[in-house]
Amino acid sequence: MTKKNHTLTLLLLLFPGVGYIALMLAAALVMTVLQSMGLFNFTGVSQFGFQEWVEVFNQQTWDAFAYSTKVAFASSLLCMILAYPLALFLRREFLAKKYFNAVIRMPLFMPALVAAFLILNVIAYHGIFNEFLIRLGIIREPLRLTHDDWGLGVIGIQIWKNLPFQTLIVTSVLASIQSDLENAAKNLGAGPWQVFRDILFPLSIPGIVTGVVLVFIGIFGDYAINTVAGPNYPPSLAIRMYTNANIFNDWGQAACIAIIIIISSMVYAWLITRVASFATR
Amino acid sequence: MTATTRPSVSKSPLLGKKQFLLLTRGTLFPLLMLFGAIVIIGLPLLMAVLWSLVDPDFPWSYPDVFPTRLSLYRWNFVFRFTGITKAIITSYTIAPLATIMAFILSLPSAYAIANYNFPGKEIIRIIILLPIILPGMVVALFLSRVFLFLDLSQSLFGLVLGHTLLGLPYMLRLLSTSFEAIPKEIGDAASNLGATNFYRLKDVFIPMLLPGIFAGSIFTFITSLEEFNLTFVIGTPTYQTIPTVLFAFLGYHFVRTNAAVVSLILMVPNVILLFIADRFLKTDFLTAAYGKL
Amino acid sequence: MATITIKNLVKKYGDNTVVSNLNLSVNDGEFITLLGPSGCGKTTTLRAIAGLVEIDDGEIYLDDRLINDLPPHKRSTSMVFQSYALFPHMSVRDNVAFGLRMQKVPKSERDDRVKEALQMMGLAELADRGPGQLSGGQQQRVAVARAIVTHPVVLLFDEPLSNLDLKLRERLRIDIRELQRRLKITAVYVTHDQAEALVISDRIAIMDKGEIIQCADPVTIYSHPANAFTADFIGQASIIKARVIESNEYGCTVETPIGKLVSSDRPKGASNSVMVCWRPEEITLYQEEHHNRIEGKIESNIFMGNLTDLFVDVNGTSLRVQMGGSVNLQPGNKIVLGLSKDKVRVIEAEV
Repeated sequence: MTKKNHTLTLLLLLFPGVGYIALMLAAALVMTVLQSMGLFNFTGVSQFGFQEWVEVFNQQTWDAFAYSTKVAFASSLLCMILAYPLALFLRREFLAKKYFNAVIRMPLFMPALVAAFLILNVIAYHGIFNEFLIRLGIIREPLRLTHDDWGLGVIGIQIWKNLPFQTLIVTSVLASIQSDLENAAKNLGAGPWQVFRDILFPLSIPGIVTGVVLVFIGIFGDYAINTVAGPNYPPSLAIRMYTNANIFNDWGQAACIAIIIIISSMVYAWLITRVASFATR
Repeated sequence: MTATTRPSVSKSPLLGKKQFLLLTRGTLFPLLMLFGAIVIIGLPLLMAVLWSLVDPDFPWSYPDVFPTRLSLYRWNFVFRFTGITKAIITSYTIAPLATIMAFILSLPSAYAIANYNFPGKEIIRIIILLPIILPGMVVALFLSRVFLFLDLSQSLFGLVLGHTLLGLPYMLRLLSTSFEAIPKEIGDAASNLGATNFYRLKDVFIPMLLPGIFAGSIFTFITSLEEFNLTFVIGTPTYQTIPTVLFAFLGYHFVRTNAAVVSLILMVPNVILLFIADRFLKTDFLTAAYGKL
Repeated sequence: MATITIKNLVKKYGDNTVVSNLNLSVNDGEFITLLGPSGCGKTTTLRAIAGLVEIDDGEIYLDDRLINDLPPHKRSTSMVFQSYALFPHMSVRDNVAFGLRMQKVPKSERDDRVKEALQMMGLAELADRGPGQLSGGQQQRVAVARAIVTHPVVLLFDEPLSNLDLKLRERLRIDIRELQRRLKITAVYVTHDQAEALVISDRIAIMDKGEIIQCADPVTIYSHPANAFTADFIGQASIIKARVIESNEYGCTVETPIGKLVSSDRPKGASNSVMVCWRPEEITLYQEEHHNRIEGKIESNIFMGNLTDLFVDVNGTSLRVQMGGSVNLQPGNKIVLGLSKDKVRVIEAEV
């Protein structure tokens, strides 16, 4: 058949799926930006300008930002530190591997709220974890792990919830490294540690970084888990955003925080990727 | 499977060093790991189950390790008096609708992505993943303003639209990867034998895509069931889903026992669904699916 | 049962011209092979006939009908694909029935024709199996059955035997030829295997870099290659640069690195720089009636069972000489070779 112009067909085909996403997100984005510039203030005065932005950079916003950053970094890094060896362990065959796999994957199918509740239960002030430690004589007073100022509860929940996902990512990254490379290294005399250090680890870094970034962004922008188990002050950025919006009805401020969250996420993602590639040179 | 052999009977009463290592590495260590995994993962679940079965007349509190009496009172209570039934119906109505909508919207786009080369494909791939990457509450909050503007707030239709948005990344990704896996010659052969685009899709492509469609549907369905942020912002208080009910019990009105019951309601179908999927599809479905993401 | 006419076909991929100004006429009921190395454009041409490739310029006719804008599913040009392309989720029977279903043939007639096709290809017992349960040869036969059951006017083959082992290939190519003869369907066959082309074709179109170099029946192509490329591609050839010293209507004499040679062929162009070629089996031990006498020294003797390849050094040029059976000559031995003038072909010098 003589060559036709396919552009129209292509656009029509892409529109339902991709167009849907693009449209909705664009609408939300535009709404956010406009509200941060003072417009669309449904219950107050709409005035275009930077006044919202001037207002938003205050101590509370900074505290929330610092808190969210700290929790996200701690959780995603600790989670990866646990996930990587786990993934390595899962590479070989061992007794009852099938069951181990099944158990380890349980939190994958769990919504964030349920994970939050389950762990909350366990690490509560009078929960079984504290009891256990007291019975063993390791501590005398129960530890305050939930709603604590450090966000330990949140970090614990996030690690627990994201561990299967991270392990899965590392597993698939490791699986995508040709086994021939390992075999060649072994053939040339490399022991297991060297194979890991010189072959597996360097090659797995890009995939690992993606995993860390994805989890990081999710934790950084979290609302639900922080509401359920986080400290009263400082709140996570997302909580602050929500509070401004639906409790103070200050959508302008909320919009600014939203933009801060998005831009910070992108900057952090870029940073993490940069640091990783720099460190591995 | 070499690590599971029992050490041979040796003449000396003590195990030789090699056999000891074999025993530890081969049997003891994995079992320890399994035990550890069961505790870390299973314990919280067990606690939730126990809490849901607490007898109201025998409250479970410190220092008891286990509740003194079990009863189904809580389950009864939750189902009768908390509107959970309505929430369950809502959740299980929105989920299939969102899944169907996501499928219909994804099919043409997935086909286009798999079969055409065009500039900006990478950007399109990123756009497709945005709903999952962007922080949930941010999207939820400002999408809700757009919905308010369009009079879609507090409506079932709005909820379905929102859930579809969140399911599309999975559906699109899995469908386009599945399309890509179909060899080009198969499509050519179908055309060559007289099939119009419609029949080619119906009789050749879709049957071959079924595993991908199944996987995509599962992910979308479950994402919808679990979705909290968007539903909370645009659905409540008119519409409650199971996650929003759970949230209510976890927030200001923290009732541990109710929360336990709702958690289990929310979780069990998910687990069953995903185990079915895992059984049905031969390969390590999850690694493959996440890998494709 | 149709003729195919291709005029000035052009196909580009980006800056790469894969088919350039190709012209071809295929007669009704003819079996024509497109032969050439990878990348020569033969598969692209085949797919253009089927409508599976969008062409940049040119016209394709089936009988007298211009089919350029006819979508692939409306052309009656069934194709057998290199990978067989059997639908994995359908049984053999359903695969074969597919085309008839698309043509909306009523069920009872469809069942009959499918049964007939399956029997013709010896697949009756495999009718309910899935493609995954078949061997390569069986899959290939299903692909052929599927293609012929719709009674197409043209049959297209895209290197259908290249995934099979040698013995199977040798047998199946003859089966395909027999089938085509019996059904009298015009067939276009693509392959890179020159032996296969020689065995089954009515005509061979040799292609290189998007163009048809020579199009003729197998004997002509083999014994009168138009140029060095064809000579080298089909069979083996000794090809040597030569300079025409004198020429008349009975032949010519040329000067070559291995000495003066006489040929009963004449140069085609105006230039005195030409090439001469002959087949290794055409040069042999010198005898009186040979017009050309060539002295040389044996470099190597390679025994291949039914043949022996001798490589002979003549003034620095290595000539290949093929003889039947075994030859009792060792490296270092002197040898005198003879070549008759009608075996020396003059072809255009390579550009």
